[in-house]
Amino acid sequence: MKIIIVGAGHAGIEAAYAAARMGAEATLLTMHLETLAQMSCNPSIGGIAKGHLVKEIDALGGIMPRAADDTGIHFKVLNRSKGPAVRATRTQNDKIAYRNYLKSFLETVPRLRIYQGIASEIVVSHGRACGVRLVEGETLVADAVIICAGTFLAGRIFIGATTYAAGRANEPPSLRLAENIAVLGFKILRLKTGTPMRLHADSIDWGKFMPQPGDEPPMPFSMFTKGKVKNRILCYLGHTTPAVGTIVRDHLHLSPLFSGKIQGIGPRYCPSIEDKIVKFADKDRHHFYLEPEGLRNKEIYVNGLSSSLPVEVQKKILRAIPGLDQARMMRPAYAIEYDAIQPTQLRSNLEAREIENLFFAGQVNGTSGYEEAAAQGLMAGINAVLKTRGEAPFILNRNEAYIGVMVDDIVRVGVDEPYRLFTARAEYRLQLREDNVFERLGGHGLRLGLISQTDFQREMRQLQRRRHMIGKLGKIKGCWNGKTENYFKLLKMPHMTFEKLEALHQKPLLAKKTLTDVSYIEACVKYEGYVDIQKREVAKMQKMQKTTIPADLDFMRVDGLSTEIKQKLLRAKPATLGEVALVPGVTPAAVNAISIYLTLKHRI
Amino acid sequence: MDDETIVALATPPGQAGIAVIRLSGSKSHAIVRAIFEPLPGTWHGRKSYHGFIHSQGERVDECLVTVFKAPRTYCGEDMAEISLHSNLAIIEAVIDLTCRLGARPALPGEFTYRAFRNGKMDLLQAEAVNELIRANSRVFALMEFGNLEGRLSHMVGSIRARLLEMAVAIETDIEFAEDQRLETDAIDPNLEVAINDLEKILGQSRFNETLDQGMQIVIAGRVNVGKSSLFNALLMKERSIISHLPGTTRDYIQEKLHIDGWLFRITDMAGIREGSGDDIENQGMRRSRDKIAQADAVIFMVDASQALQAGDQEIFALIRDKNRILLANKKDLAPPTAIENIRRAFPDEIIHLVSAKNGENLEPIIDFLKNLWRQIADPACTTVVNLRQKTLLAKLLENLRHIEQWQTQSPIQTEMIAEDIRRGLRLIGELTGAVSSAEILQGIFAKFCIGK
Repeated sequence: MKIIIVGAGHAGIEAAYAAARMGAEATLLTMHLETLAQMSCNPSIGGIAKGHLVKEIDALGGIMPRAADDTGIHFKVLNRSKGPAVRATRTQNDKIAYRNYLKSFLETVPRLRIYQGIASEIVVSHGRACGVRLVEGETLVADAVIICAGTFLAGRIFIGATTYAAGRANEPPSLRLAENIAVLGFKILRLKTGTPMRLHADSIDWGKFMPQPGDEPPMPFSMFTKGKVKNRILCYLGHTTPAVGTIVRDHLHLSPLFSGKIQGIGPRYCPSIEDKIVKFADKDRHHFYLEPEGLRNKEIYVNGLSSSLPVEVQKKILRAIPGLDQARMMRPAYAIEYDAIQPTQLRSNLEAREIENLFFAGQVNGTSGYEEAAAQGLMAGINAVLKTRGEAPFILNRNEAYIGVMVDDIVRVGVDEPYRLFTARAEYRLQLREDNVFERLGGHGLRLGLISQTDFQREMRQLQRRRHMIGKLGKIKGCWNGKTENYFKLLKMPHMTFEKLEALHQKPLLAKKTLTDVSYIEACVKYEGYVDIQKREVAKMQKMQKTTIPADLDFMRVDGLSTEIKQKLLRAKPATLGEVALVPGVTPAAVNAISIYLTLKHRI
Repeated sequence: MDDETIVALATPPGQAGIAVIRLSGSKSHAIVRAIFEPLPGTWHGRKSYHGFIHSQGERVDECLVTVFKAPRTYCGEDMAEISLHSNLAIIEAVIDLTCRLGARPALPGEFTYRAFRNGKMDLLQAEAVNELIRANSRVFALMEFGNLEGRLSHMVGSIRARLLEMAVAIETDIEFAEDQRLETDAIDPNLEVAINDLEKILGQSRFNETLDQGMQIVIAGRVNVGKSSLFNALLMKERSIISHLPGTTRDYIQEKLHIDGWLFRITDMAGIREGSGDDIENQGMRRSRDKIAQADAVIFMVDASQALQAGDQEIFALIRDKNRILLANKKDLAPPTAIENIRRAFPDEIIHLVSAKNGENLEPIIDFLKNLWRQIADPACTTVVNLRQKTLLAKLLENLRHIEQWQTQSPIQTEMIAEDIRRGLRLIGELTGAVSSAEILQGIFAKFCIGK
């Protein structure tokens, strides 16, 4: 079984690694071997919701978490002051080390071939993808093809009035593949993103900024990471000045974002400095972070100052910020516009609806972020293998994993701006935690052959230890704040923590406990009532979804549906309300309308 | 618009002066134009035209036609109304005519459904229409009308806005505060207004139930004091079997009575006579006691033509904590000292001397009944809530109280408050039929400057 993965970014790598692990001959195609696993934007992995994704990738045997740990130079658990469900891991990484780690690692993976070449065409025969043609003249035959083209499809960079075709700064775009994908009939979106300038470390007056240390002790992403990870650098926090606002406003006409040259839709959660200043005119300063891009590397990433203004204006902005007034720019900020496919054209296994055995993953699906890309790559890799084997697809539910939330969101609703995962997107947030990721996904990892029996057993023992501890809490009584209750009920109280409980107990309850142990136990106890309600709601929803739709129901007669949705439903012929909801492009409001129509009809 | 045009008779079928046929949908104006003469030069919306419905050169009926132009119509689409003579043959002929021109008979509730889906009303308002159609009393209808104008929707809407605002702040805090060094505005913890509103509405729901069901009034008294006569006098019809034999009304009889638009259910009880050997009657009396217990008020009668008996006092003991009026009946047969004796027996009561049989001095009873409503609530500021809404509102109230409790405890777990807020929003979604998902994120991006 042969699978070709086009693009060796964060999505492509996970796809190739998973496919090879599952027994496929995986060819990972890249334009340029040196930029494999390139971190195109910030030197960081994880964050809120994204860290959750990385942990999920870990439980499914992916490589991103191990690479992030190995090359991590700054580790932090965000939202530590909040509850377990919203705590998330983030690392700062050495970009060059990250690239090197992954290239060296992948070179040793059996059945995985890294190959330098430029894809120009997907070979499709009888509605099925069966290979890739290269610009170099070669044709690679395959049973399945996974497209992980990132921002390279018809990519175009904008810096002030300057614009040129590129997939990343000074790297050629994929023009022929972009054309080919359009010819194959895919609906194309034009999206935009941007990256800030990089500065030389020695030209920054560091004393003007507030140091941001990592956590002590630092916590790794991966359950497979042996040995300790270490904080090696500091990040720094700074602020722009009112003068920056004036400069931006004076030169706004030179920004292609505002002159209308950029047609692509950018992400609201990742605005350029000109966006921020225009949209939040009442704020006279905006914060930014200075993040080192590596240990043996002087480049500093200015998190918060992405821009498409001309290089000269970018320099003026820097000169108006105390501490950066002498800063030497090594690379300017730029905006990039690129093609993505509307992901509603994909099935829940990330396979194209109209072309069998052709999969898409990552930024080409209209998402943004390394983690979102990697998670899709993993799912596409797994599903490409399952499809060619003739097995049932691997689809994660919304109440099971953030991966499930993301894939469901993009294939069902589609995107209108680069899609980023937020914990707010999950209906069952309290159940989707970093601390219970193995419980949620470990079984899948084992079944798919992505984690070993040994690793599974080891993690299972850890899980049982935690569960056992929770069981024990109900059996010990104690007095706290004037209340005598068993430990389970005491821990449920708002200000009680496991640590305080141990203090009350006057000796450790759990030997050699980790942060994960404590999180897991606290979450299970404190969220109990909420999780019960959510489980009942899931059951109720599943019942609603089973509502059958009469075979003779003519969707054209259902009022309140757009013609587009009616036609989609006529084609899809869903048998239940649940299936209606799964038809791409069908909104919850449409499901509601059909539900009401069925009720009204019933009354006759 | 590829919508079908629907047609239905809007008035109750049967012999009546006027019947109204209603059409809704994009073809409704064209259909009316095709069957109406004489055609005016221009049709103005919301203006009635007098003329005739014709079919194949023959006049079917004389009528008035009014057209309504989208979107300012009940359903939010083009509509027309034909007022004609209420004769089943004519109505059928006209509906048939419109169907041949492309309309189809409407499903039950379909006009309201269209109004709902065209955004003319939310689910709460759509439900109000249903309630309105089966409204029992004029007051109830008046209040439902208030609902239709969105009073309940408005209130729920303001709770929703408050929760959404809180959700935006708290979700921003979770997603971005630490990563982005955001100073989110302190969440306005004040849910008091919302909680008060809900408590008021739910408190009134007892009133609303009463309004829907009618005020329960029991006429109580010893056997043969004239309860059935009073019952009939109030209803002004011979519903009860009136007889001078003790214990004729074995069980009870209930009737609706409207006074000034207020609805009452008057129950004529079996006479309460302890120690009777009649088993059926004993059962009836047990039920009498239950009825008294459930009643909103009691009309207590004694017989002024006889001396008071122990039974009178026993029955009075049963209604002691009830809202009541005390009548001394058989005024016409009462000896002059009778009223004095009764006053002495019930020193704290106001006693009305009446004659049920002759309908004399019944006005105090009518005033008493009308007053009962004034004691419960002022209808002008009342909102009607049906059972489904009540259940959801009660859950919402519980939910808001929970959030408030969290806030006073200032817990560490922000995400748990967030969970309660989301649950509140979901409950409101169930109430109004609105779906909110991307709304919170939208709020975040509109309010906070986020990004690298």
